[in-house]
Amino acid sequence: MEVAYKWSALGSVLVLLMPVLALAAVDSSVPVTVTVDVSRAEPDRMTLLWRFRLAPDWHLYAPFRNDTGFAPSIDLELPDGWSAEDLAWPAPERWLVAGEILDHVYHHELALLQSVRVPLGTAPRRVPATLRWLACSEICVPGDTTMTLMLPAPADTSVGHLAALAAASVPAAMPSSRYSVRRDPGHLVIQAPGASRLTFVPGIDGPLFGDLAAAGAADAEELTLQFQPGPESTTPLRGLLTIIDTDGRRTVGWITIP
Amino acid sequence: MTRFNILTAVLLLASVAAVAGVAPGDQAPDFSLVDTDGHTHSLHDYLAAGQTVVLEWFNPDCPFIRKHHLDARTMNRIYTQFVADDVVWLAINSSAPGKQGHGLDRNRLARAEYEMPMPVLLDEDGAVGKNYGAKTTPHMFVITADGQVAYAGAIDSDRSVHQLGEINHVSEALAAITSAESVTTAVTQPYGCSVKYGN
Repeated sequence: MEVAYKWSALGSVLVLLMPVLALAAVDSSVPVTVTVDVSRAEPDRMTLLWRFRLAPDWHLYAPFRNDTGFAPSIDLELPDGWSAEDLAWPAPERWLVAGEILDHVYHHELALLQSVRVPLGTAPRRVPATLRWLACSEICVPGDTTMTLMLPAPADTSVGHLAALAAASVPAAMPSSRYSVRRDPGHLVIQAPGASRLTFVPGIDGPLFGDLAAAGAADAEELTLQFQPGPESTTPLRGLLTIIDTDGRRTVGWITIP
Repeated sequence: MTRFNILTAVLLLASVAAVAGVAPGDQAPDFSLVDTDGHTHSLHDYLAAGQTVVLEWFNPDCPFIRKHHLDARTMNRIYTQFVADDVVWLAINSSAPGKQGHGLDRNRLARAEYEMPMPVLLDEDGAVGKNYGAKTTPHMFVITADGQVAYAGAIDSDRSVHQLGEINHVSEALAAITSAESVTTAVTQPYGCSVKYGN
């Protein structure tokens, strides 16, 4: 197994990679520290748990419609015959600042799960990974780093509980019984009977909305969002809907609007 | 205060409060701002002279601005390409006092460091930025000589801080306008750092 220390070219990140238990130096001048844990639940499948720990008052961006910034990216150079699933993202926080600037972000820590499949019987080998992100508070600091993972890792369950916690924060599909949605000309209307508050976070692809900062959340059973005029206003879209019921119960789930 | 003045004041307040940004096809809001050399720039003067105006929201310390002004010289390149076609480029800084990128000295220094031929106008109360709905640095607006917004959005098609986009939306818009053609892509999602408005 390999242990590697590396300062990014931008001088913003200290990365410590260990095969099972990830440690990171804590430096208050560094906005982000990145670690990765590997667990192996099946002979041909590993779960990578990427953890971005943030200094107080700093945030990373989620891969949703944001006014600013960009989400972290992780590129694995996988050998032939290997495959990696898309990163699984937790529900972000709605972040509105002066100028009606709306982003969807993560504070404190961002934990990303990624499943990697390898052919049975594959011997451990080096797998390079390139990570990029933008961390912001009052200023923005881009970060990047490269890591070398030794994969496949031996079976280990010591971080399985961390992966389980991360998995629990990844939203699933919103039950269709909880909401209804319709496209009117130029508008999207989302209804959830019994809700005291609704929030909609559009995915990064699809049509643009003209008033997301003002209309993307409401203390009501209904949200009405205005599309920006243009050819994209008729394309399918996905997004995260958060429903808070009158009893305070919070449900977050994906909805798809054809 | 006379009844007329009260009515005028109410209408003006209503119009300011109602403006939440401009979109292609809108009349561009007029403004007058002072640049880092002390010169005043008014949109109506440029339009009266029959010029196409490019507005770029600017913050010298934003990594996206550094990508285009320092690393790639994107803005200078487009400016140079179209300046002979009666195109004016104005960089506007709406950073509030105490916020990143604010101030006469910082912007004067940046203009020299980035070798910017275009002026940097200071909008420290953010009024012009909010009138246009400027959210990012850079956030681009292209205004035709008749005062209409022809393009609003990103400078190009790559939202990262690391590389340039294959499509430069401002260059495409200016090429169309200076050829008396329609702008094909009139709006895109802007990207960059947030404009540092006051709280």
